[in-house]
Amino acid sequence: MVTLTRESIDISLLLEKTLNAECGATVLFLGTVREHTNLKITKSLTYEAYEPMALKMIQSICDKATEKWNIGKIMVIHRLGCCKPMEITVAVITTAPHRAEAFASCSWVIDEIKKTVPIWKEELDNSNNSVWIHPINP
Amino acid sequence: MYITILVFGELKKRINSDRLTISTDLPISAVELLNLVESLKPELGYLLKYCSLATNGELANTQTLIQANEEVALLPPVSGG
Repeated sequence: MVTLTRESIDISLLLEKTLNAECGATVLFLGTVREHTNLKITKSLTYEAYEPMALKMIQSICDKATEKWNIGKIMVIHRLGCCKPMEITVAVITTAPHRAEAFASCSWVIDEIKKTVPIWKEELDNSNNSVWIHPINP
Repeated sequence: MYITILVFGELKKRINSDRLTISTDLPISAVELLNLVESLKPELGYLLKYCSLATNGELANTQTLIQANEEVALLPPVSGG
């Protein structure tokens, strides 16, 4: 299941939907808003997406993960809108019969999402300066 | 003809809109469209060089031909997660 949401992410609900009797391992990755980066203080991150493409790409990443590893369930939910420090911005859950597949697939899925999916964040700092984050690798 | 391009992130901030509309002959290749945008919207600056184009929700390559009625989006480097 792949979702983009403007609501808070409820981890217990996600786990309820993914825990299953066939899988002995469940890995949950949570991305959260970090308040301090070196000397900078972050007040909020505001996320936007090119939603139809983002949903399609995340689903494709999940499909590839299912081909690469023997995994049971996979779920990705990503926030849109404004998130305050400690709020969950993204959750990835993978379940597998054994932990190696669950860890490897969960790690791969979040890496692919961060590298490729059209989602962006704008950071607001404690001086009320806002900057869109666009990592550039010349 | 006119083509509307969806824009995101810093691009949106620089043109103060979530889309830009430009006049061009269609079809046009992705690279030609990017060059046209660069000449018409210098305020997009260096960031444009790092952007990708998508047509109908699929990443375009430089030679992808953009037809009338396709949804076109200009995607700056991503920062989800």
